[in-house]
Amino acid sequence: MFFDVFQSLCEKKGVSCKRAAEDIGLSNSITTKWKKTGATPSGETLGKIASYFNVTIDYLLDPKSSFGPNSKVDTQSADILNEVDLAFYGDYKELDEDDKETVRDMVRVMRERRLRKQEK
Amino acid sequence: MFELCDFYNFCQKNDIDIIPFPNAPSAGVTIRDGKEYAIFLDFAKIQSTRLLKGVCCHEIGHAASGALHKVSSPYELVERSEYRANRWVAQNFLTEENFRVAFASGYTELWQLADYFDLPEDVIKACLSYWIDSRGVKFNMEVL
Repeated sequence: MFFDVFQSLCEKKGVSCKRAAEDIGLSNSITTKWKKTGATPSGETLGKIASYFNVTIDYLLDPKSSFGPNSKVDTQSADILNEVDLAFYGDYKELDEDDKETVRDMVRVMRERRLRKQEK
Repeated sequence: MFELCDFYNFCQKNDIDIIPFPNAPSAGVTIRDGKEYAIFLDFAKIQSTRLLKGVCCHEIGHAASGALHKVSSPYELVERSEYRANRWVAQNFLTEENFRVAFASGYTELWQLADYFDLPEDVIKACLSYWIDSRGVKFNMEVL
């Protein structure tokens, strides 16, 4: 069902379904409609959703497709480091791979906290 | 003058999460995700209250001025963000007037100013540099 794919993408991105719908520019009730009726959105909406989650439309329609968020190609383009801006205290230093992974963890923590706040 | 309560009040007012995070790449990290901000503090790297104050006031400088950069941004852009954050701190917490009062009270060396403001010397240096080098303020004191 489309809603399951949508929900799983929201969880991976660390946002609620409501927040994702708002960000995409859809009404809050649309996700409930997908959930209750099992409906799949139209082509234009699918395009917006695919763009928001940085996946292909094919993936939204067929999660077993190789272009989902876990595929190698997509992991590079959807690196959460590219989605955030940051600043560090102290002298400039280039981040090595370990540092980058730590910063990814920080973004995940930040998103989980936001998600929990939104759910309260 | 900056106090830690300024940091907490600012974060509360602007809904900014303060998150303790061990093994962070730096003592303080500010992250913006969409419209949301969070400030991460690595207390293992912060050995004194003075340093904590320095980290906190610098990080709200970033959050308040929106001066952040992408992880892959060139050095020039990173330094411009640092400058904007320092400028915000200078304009809000280490003002020209604050320095004049400090100088008039006899605090003229960098370490003395650090004691007076209870902030790390690098924060004092950055703010003083803003007033003297960028704004052309003349304090008529020999400092640094």
